[in-house]
Amino acid sequence: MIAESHPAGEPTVARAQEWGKMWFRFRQSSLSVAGLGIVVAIVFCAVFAPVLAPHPRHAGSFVDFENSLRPPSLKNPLGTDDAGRDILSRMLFGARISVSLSVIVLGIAVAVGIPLGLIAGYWGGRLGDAIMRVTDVFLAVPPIALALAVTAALRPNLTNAMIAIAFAWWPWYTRLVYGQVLSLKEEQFVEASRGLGAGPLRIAFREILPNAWSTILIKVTLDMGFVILTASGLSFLGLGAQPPTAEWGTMIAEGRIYLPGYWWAATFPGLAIFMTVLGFNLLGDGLRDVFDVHIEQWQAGS
Amino acid sequence: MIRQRHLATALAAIVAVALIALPASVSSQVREVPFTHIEQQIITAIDPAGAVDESSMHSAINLYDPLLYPNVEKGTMEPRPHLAESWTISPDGKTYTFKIRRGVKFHSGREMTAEDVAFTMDRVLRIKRGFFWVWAPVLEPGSAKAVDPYTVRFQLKEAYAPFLGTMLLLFVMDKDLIMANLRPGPHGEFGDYGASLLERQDAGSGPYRMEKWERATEMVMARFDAYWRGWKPGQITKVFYKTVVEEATVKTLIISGQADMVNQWLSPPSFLELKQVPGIVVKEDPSVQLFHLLMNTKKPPLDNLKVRQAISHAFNYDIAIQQIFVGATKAKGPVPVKVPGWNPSIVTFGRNVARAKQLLSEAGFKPGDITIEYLWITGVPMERLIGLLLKSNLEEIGIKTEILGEPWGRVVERAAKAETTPHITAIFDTLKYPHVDSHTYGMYHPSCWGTFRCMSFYENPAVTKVLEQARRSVDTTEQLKLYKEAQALIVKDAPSIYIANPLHRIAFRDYVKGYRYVGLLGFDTAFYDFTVAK
Repeated sequence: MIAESHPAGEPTVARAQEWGKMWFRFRQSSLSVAGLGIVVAIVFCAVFAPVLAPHPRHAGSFVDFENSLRPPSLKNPLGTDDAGRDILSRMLFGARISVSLSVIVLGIAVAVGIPLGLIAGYWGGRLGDAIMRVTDVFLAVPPIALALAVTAALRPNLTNAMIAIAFAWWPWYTRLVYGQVLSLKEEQFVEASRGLGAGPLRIAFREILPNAWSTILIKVTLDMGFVILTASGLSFLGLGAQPPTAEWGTMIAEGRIYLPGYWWAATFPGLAIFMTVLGFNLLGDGLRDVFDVHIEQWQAGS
Repeated sequence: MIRQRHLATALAAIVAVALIALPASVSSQVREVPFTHIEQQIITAIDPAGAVDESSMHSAINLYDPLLYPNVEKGTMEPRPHLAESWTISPDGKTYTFKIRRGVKFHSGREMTAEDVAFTMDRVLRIKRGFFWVWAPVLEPGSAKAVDPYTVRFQLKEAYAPFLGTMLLLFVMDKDLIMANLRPGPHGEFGDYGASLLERQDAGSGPYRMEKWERATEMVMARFDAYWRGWKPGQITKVFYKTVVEEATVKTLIISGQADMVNQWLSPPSFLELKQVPGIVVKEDPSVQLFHLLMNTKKPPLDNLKVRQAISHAFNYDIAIQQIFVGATKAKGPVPVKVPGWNPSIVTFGRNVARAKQLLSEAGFKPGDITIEYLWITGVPMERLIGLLLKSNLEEIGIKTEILGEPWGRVVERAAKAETTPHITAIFDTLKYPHVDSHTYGMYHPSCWGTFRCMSFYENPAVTKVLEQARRSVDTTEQLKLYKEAQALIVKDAPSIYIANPLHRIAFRDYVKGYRYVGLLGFDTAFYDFTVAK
């Protein structure tokens, strides 16, 4: 109604309606909502770790060997590790490291991968071929193996683990954007703006890229979990975070020798990784359902 | 009461079964006694001339016989006769003559002679691997000669205090077998010196023959029937020596009874866990091992004595010994307390934070000025915990610590040069031969620079002189006095934080009898000594 009386406001309302429709579609799957809940909870933990943690000092260089490997109790809800540090507090600070690490890594991957994919897809030619062949070489090596090789060459610490994972991750975005650009650049709206006299930069970044964002967003969401998993894997192998940093992979590596008797030392950080990866995966799947046209048509037809 | 009655019934049943079974076991000559031992460290070399680590020594000790043996019966590490029945030493300390036991058979069936002993010595010296560095200062190929089939003579370049003890490391090899299986190799007329043969089988006279070896997985050893010390019922006839890396898996294997014995490398909390399992014995012995943090005296600011002293005063020894090692002895200098020749009058550093701060400011450093690197070996969790403790202790005096874990191979690599060696490295150092020389000369004479034992790069001309004199002195009293003097001088220079002589722990099922801790690298895991009373 409002849209009719105020033509100028129409796009805003249409967009709001669009968001509303998407949210409705997202809510149809309880798994997606659960995923969103988990992700929100983890980000909340990461942001407010110093407030939430019962013993914030335990995430630093604090040690208390007298209270090592105590089972879960009121004082230490998830028990203590082999240096007497509260596992819950360390896990909350671990969320901080994991979330910020994967945001940075994916930020780098997106910033490097997308422009390269755009260039290769839209302009093509020899430069495009060169970019895509290099990308293929990187894709041929599993990311964890590539990251292992890089961290082994550098000094093992968290920053270098980040560099190593980003190094292994950008080609996926180049590949993805490249494919999107190839299919989008023949679309009519691209032809239309070309006909209106838009330059190649404007077409690439203002016409094609916005139409690829949903795919990129889904990929980023799904990747959040996997980057956390990879980083924890590196730390588990001793190539990432170094003690006393509270990182989930390091905590599992340190606690696993005490299995099965002192099970809490490795189990809870393991659960944290499991829940995080699961949460981001469910959320990513949910987003895919929302954005993916094919699924919508299939639902309408059935 | 009920339990007692059950016990009585059970005993009666056992007696009954034993009475029935007895004639059967007498008629079948050998009762098979299989035994499964789990080790977390892999065997790197089954050629005794290449063995330096504990697990490689296990294979040498069980497949071969050394010339002399530690006196395990008396509970000391002093050498006693073994393949050599007796020996004489010339008054100048340069000539050692050994009488070889008659009737010792190699696994090939041939009798061992003095010729084999001389051959083995030459081989180690030419291959230049394993423990060759122990002999290299005083022997060269040809120094050992067979005088007659049962007499061998070693001619030393100069008197060498630890020489007799090093004969525990000389595992005699079958000369004919090796010479008949030479392949082309770098040693001239000796080709590969049997290296390829010794990858597949053993050439020893030890209580067990090697049946199977899969690197990093399993070694199977079977009883050698014609072993010269003979066999009694109940002794182990077949050993399954398995490599399992994961600590949790190792524990599960012994708890479930699939393993009869598991190694010493488990963490104290894990041994505590095993102690509570009925049917498992956790044996604890004061060890002759030294755990210390080596400070690189060539790397600023640790080249400053006051900084090293400050760090030594800042460390909390009591927590390390009581809560991390759980029941260790505080190390008093580089020589483990139990080793003959240890100097009891040494004054070591204790925790004194005020003094540490004062020393640091005397050295001209303000809090926050210094950042040091602490290196621990991944896979040795105790070293990580010590690192955490050190970090929190040094924070109190304003020194920042970066903790870094690297695999053993990298640590050895970094030890090669003072520049690549970190400020502080955590090392467990077991006695290499039964002599105080191992933990004095072997760690603080500049000739050892570049190895993991000498990551302090310590240099004090006065100490070097005393150590050289001690090695060359023939008079035992004089010798001991010099070694003690060296210890006192070394500790004053604070090249290490001497933390602990930890307890040696090992776990086995309660039916395993005859285990003895010796203290020397690997000699406690001589399967010939064990009997199984199931």
